[in-house]
Amino acid sequence: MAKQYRSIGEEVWKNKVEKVNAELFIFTYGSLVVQLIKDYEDYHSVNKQLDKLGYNIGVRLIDDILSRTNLEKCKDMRETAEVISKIGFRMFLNIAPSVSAWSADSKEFSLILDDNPLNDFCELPPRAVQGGLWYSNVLCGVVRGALEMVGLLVKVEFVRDVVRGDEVSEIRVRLEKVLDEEVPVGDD
Amino acid sequence: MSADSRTTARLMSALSLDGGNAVEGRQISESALEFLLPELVNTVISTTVETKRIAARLSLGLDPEEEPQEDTTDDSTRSDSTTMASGWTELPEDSEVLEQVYVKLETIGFRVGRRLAERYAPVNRRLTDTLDIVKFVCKDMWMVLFNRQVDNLKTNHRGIYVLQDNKFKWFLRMSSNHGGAAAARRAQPYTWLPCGIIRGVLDSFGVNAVVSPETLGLPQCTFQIKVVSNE
Repeated sequence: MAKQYRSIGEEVWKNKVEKVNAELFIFTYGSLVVQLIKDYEDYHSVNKQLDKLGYNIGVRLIDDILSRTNLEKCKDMRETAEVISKIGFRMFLNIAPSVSAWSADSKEFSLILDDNPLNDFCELPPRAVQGGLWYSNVLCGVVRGALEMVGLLVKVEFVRDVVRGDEVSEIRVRLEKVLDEEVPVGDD
Repeated sequence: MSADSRTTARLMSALSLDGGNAVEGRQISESALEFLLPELVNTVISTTVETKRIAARLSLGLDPEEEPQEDTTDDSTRSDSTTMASGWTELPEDSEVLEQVYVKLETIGFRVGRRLAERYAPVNRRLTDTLDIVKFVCKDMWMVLFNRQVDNLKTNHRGIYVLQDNKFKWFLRMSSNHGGAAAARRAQPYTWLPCGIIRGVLDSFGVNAVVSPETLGLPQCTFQIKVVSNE
């Protein structure tokens, strides 16, 4: 299953995606974060804005994914997680975070980002680390927004990030609710 | 051939900077940037509107956290930006808010320009002549930003440079929807960011300038660089 999605994702990246140098994207995002910090002087508000920005991207980006692939509806969260990682992340950022740490009820998992383009060139001042900034929080919003459009209400949050001094970067995703008419069965 | 176009031809043919300096960096999907930009503009607009609303309530001694619906202050401060289906935003009517949005976007661009210049400045020779620096913007920087060079560069040789891009990339998706004044107005914020980027690049080479955009018809866009003082 994972393999199949991996090859779909790689095929899309190779043949159906216009590629550009990442630095404009990386610097622009970084500069926006700086601006939000100046505006709010409160890192939790900045996290919130980044998540919101990501959500607005996610609700539109899902169409892009669906239109470039012939994906069937996922039958459970395990499939959904693979699609997020191997197709979603691959298609836009050319990375594929590993999926791990499933909860017993298969509703919650982690995305481990070994390589996050947003973190390139990023050095957080100690103040921002202490203040609780999740620099790449936009990614949580994107996942949340995209999944909501296919009927999956999820809670998504960073729990670790290398730019904060953690060993790995980890996003935790938890399925809260499946909207009935959108998706046939959840995961049980 | 007019004097102007002769100058242009000469300038463009002289656009032969080191070029080979382009760094083979990481690649991402172009649509990642296309998704980010409108939401970045939206975020700057909505946070500016919100900040102003909170400030207005505080100045009246009201609780800033209350719902905007109960806001008794100036109506215009509540004109929350609305994202249209296409993802483009209507600009706020409030000119004070609009000015702040401009300053923020230009500043965001400025920082980007500084960092891009750091990354892509020619390693094998130092740029000191303003014209060479502007050419670096027209050629190398434009390639990094938009994967093309500017179409036209004019100068009066007295500190004014006009860069013309006939197919400004960030406009290409806008022009199809609605033409005319409304589109040109909506397109504005997408020129403020590159204005800042250009100013940032120039600044990192020690050139202090004012950069202003002009759009006669989408997707064409010009940027006027006015050098304030050099060295």
